[in-house]
Parts: sequence; C-alpha cells; structure tokens
Amino acid sequence: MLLRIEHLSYTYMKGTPFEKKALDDVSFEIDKGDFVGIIGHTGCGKSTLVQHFNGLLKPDEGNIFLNEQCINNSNIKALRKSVGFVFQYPEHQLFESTVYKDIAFGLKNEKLSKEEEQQRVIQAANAVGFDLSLLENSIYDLSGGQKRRAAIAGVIVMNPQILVLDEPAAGLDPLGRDEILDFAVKLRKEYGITIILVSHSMEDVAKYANKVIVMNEGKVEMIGSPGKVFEDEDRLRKIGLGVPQIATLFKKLSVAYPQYNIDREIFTVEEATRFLLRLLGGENK
Amino acid sequence: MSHVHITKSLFVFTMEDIIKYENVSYSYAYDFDDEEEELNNIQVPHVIPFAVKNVSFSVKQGEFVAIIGRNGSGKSTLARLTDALIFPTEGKIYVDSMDTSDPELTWEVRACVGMVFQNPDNQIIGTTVNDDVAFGLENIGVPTDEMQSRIDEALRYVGLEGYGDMEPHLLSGGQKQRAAIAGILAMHPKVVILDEATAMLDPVGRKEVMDVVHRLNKEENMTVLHITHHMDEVVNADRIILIDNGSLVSTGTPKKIFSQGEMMRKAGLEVPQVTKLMDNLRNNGIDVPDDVITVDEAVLALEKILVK
Ligand SMILES: Nc1ncnc2c1ncn2[C@@H]1O[C@H](COP(=O)(O)OP(=O)(O)OP(=O)(O)O)[C@@H](O)[C@H]1O
Ligand SMILES: Nc1ncnc2c1ncn2[C@@H]1O[C@H](COP(=O)(O)OP(=O)(O)OP(=O)(O)O)[C@@H](O)[C@H]1O
Ligand SMILES: [Mg+2]
Ligand SMILES: [Mg+2]
Repeated sequence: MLLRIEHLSYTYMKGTPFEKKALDDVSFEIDKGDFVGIIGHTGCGKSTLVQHFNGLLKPDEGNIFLNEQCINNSNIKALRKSVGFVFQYPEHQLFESTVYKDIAFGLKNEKLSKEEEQQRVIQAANAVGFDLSLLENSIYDLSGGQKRRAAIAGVIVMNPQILVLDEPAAGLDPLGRDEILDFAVKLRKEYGITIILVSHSMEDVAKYANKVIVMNEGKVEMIGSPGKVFEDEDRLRKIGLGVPQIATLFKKLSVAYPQYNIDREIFTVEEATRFLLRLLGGENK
Repeated sequence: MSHVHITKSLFVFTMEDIIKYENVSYSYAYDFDDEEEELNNIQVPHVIPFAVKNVSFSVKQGEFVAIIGRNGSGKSTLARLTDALIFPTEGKIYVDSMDTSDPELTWEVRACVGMVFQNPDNQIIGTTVNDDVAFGLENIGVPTDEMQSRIDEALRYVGLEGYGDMEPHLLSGGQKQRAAIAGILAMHPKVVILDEATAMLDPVGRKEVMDVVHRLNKEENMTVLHITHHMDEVVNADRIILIDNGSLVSTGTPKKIFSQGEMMRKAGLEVPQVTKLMDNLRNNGIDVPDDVITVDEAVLALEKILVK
C-alpha cells in the first residue's frame, strides 16, 4: 500500500462564519503504480484532498500514511522529493526569471553538473512538449498553455514517486493534454510512478485511470474501476458530473437495440471503433 | 460613457457588424514604450515575431463565435486587442464602429466589451464576491438601488448564490471562474469575450454557464466570442474561427470545420469524440456521414446502418 487515507476530515476557517467542512471522513487506499482519477463538481474538496498528500494541509482528523509511515505532520519540504505536485493554477508555481531557471529550480540541491542539469531540464521540457526555443524567455511572455507546460516540467524534472496533477489539462490544447497524460502513463510504466489526476474531463479519466474516486460535498461518493463508475450516468449527473460522449452514445444504442448486446462499458473512441467494426463487419484496414 | 442597460437591443433584427478586424497584426516585441530600454538593452530580433498576423474577419451583432487554436496560436492576444488592452501593430479593429487604436475611445471600447480572463486571479479585485461584481457595476454607472438585484441575478447565473460574502481567494478554482464570469455578465456588455473561462468547471457547471451565455446571446442579442479548448462547447456556435500561428486558417460553421479532420489535426486540435468515431468507421469502409458532431446525430447515423 503506497498511500492510505483513514477517516480524513478537514475544515477551513474553523470558528468563523465562513467555516467550511471541505473533507468529511474520507478513506481510501492507493497502490503503487495506480493511475487514480479524482472527479467531483467544483468546490467538492478535490484540491483540499490532494493538498494533504504533499503536506500543504494537515488533517484535522484522521491519518495519512505514505509507505506505511504517518505523514500527518510532515512538511512540504520533506515530501517534495517523493510527492511531485502540480497546482491547479500553476502560474503560482512559476517564480524564477526564465523558464529554464524555473524548471531547474528544484534540482538545486541535487549537486548536478551543468551538463547533467541541462539534460534533465531539456528532458522534462521535451516530455511536456515545451518549445525549447522559449527556454530563455521570461515566464511572463508565455501564453497560458505554455506556462502550464513549464510548471509541469518543473515538477517532473524531480522524478517523484507520486505525481499529483490537479487539473493539469485545463488550458491545454488537445495535443498538449495528450502529451502530458501520455507522459504520465510512461512514467507509470517505466518507473512505476503513481499518478493521481484531478480532472473535470470524464474522457481523460475514462481513458487513463485504472481507479476512479468520485467526490461529492467533501465525501467519497463512489470508488472503483472506470467501467463501474461511468455505468451509473444518472447518479453522476445528479452530482454535477457526466460521462464521456461515447458512453452516452453507447447507452442510447443499447436501449434502442437490445438485440445487439451493446457493451455498456465502452467509453473511449478506440473501444467504440473496435466494437462497431466487429458488429458492422467493416473492412478493418 | 455608454450605458449598457438591459434595454432590448435595437439591433435584434438587423445583423450589423459589431466587430471588424482589418488586416490586424500584433507583435509583443513592439510593445515597449520605454525608449531608453529600447535603445540600450533589447537587441531587436532579426525576425520580429508576430503573435497575430494579418487577420481579417468581422463579427455580426448577436453572433456567437468560437475561436479555437492550439496553445500559443494567438487567441488571447486577439482577445486583448479586441478589448483595447493592447493595440494593433498594423491594421485596424473597429468595435461598435469605434477604432480601438484611438486613445480617446479606449474606455468606451472597454465598456462595450466585457472580457473574462483566462486566469480569474487577474480579474477578481473585490474583497468579497459581492464587492467584486459591484465594482464593475459602479464603473458603468448602475444606480445603487438596482445594484443588489443585478448582483444576485449574476451570481444565480453562475450557480454562486450564497457565496456573495465569501472572500474570492478562499474560493475553489472553479468557483473563482464562476465569480469572474458573474462579474462580467452582471454588466450585460454588448460583447462578451470568454477566454477559456470554463476551463476549471465540472461538466454540469460548464453546461449551466454555457446555457446562460447562449440565453443572453439569444434574448439580449449579446455578441459572444468564446475561446475554448472544449470542442463540445463549440458545436452550438454560429461560426468557428480557427487560428494557428497567429493567422486565420479557416472560418465556417462547426459542421464545416469539424468535417475537415485533417485540417484540425494540422492545427493541433481534435474533433468531438463522436466525429472521430464516425471518421474511424468511414476509413474502414462503413458508410456514415462526415458531418456528425453530436451524440444524437451519431445515433441517427448508426441507426441507418444497424437497421439494414
Ligand atoms: N482557504 C479556504 N478558506 C475557506 N474555504 C475554502 C478555502 N479553500 C477552499 N475553500 C472551500 O472549500 C471547498 C472545497 O474547495 P476545493 O478547492 O478543495 O474544491 P475543488 O473540489 O478542488 O473544486 P474545483 O473543482 O473548483 O477546483 C469549497 O467550497 C471552497 O469554497
Ligand atoms: N506578454 C507577452 N510578451 C511576449 N510574448 C507573448 C506575451 N504573451 C503571449 N506571448 C506570445 O505570443 C504568442 C501568442 O500568445 P497567446 O497568449 O495569444 O496564445 P493563446 O492562443 O491564447 O494560447 P493558449 O491557448 O496557450 O492560451 C505566443 O507565442 C506567446 O508566447
Ligand atoms: Mg480544485
Ligand atoms: Mg490564451
């Protein structure tokens, strides 16, 4: 067990009129190598939850174990090497004068030679599809999507054990989104890095995650494989979510054509193509 | 300053151009006004990079136009130009017949165009959500007794009822975006520009906000420029402007643009899931139309062959 959350609760601004219980008795486990998708409507507590994983927030109640060690009181610095964290607004994460310096920032303590540092920075920049010719630019001169790529590069350059991505694809074009998420898949495959993805894109979660945690009003509403979670479209809609477009299509088809045994656990374009080609007997080029 | 009251627009039935871009180019490299710095420090690059290049098109009053393009293609630059936050290096932009480069008209242009920024932190200035919306209303001279009802209406639009007294920095990412949108919609501007204003919203929230924008577009003839990477938000637009590398690549209805999968791919974009699925089937010899962009159209297309 890599990460275990036990009865975690957290309240903002306790004792003020703005008191807000953002997490309420949350428990779950994450295995090494999992690709976890966390979904839930705006304000349901996703960012609050993941900020407990890197020590930015400390539990009011409950415990968090990383590698069976309680990290309730560990600070961000101690966790920085194990938990890489990309914030929802990564602009807040950028503060050096140039993009290069920003990506290299976390490497300062690693005592690398100039060449090694350069190599790591370029590798990270390439991984997120950041245009290398912009490395010496000021971060203020970047477009929104370019800033986001730079921020993500600055985190993955550290080779963390767990990579937490809080809506990393917001503001990225489709290519950039695929690049980042495919890269996460690669990190997971090649280095066994565990990925925790907070996302509003049901498509991305369906495509990439092996485990989905659905949050609602500070509580865990559902937890399971994408197949299990996205089957219950009505329940998801009720709590502000949806299902991938393909899932809606297949649900409609399965209702209209019960005779074809249409698979209701299909929610990616690739699976849908394969299924329909088999059914319709295409040329299968 | 022009009043932007909710008077039923006079133009409901006339389709006049409200924005006109004439051979607009823009380079950030020209944008320093400190002459000394220009002379001493900055080496003028051999090739001046243009973020927007020779763009011409016009937008009709009441039109809903989606602007799409990959990261760094120039969408936000175009938005800033339209709102007179920056000025064309070459060419002209007219907003409601006002030349945006005319310094005397800057404030009038900005009153006419309400812009929701890509990052709400650059937008929200009030100490509470209420104050923030009120601030914009004061600026356009809304009478005090009308104020609270306008604020409440706007917060209702975006599903933030009850959050009026909250400090904006305590909001979640998506709540901040909603607050930023409320601040602009409350003013009922003639033109609203949403620069990836829905990027942090959940699916239902996104739909709710888009429904409100579409409603104001229809009922109040509010012109909308919607910049987004979400192709499902684009299928209901009147027209799409596709830009790449600062240039206008193509413009047309969503059906026209999305049926050109190759052009979209070249521009670094993708088509809706169902369009992609139909493309895949067609490439495998199955006879389905090339202009399917919604789930219902896909069901229809498949019904035709499943029945056979
Ligand atoms: N510093 C804070 N003080 C008070 N309340 C807060 C604070 N930060 C967040 N909240 C509230 O706690 C709740 C959970 O916020 P959180 O940021 O975890 O939501 P989220 O699920 O990440 O939402 P989103 O999808 O919009 O990013 C929200 O209702 C928010 O208003
Ligand atoms: N303040 C600035 N100074 C210099 N160059 C800039 C500045 N802002 C943007 N640029 C550059 O201008 C080009 C267009 O940027 P713009 O922000 O308009 O892109 P965009 O289409 O909005 O991208 P995104 O989808 O990432 O938000 C990019 O190459 C970017 O690096
Ligand atoms: Mg969040
Ligand atoms: Mg932009």
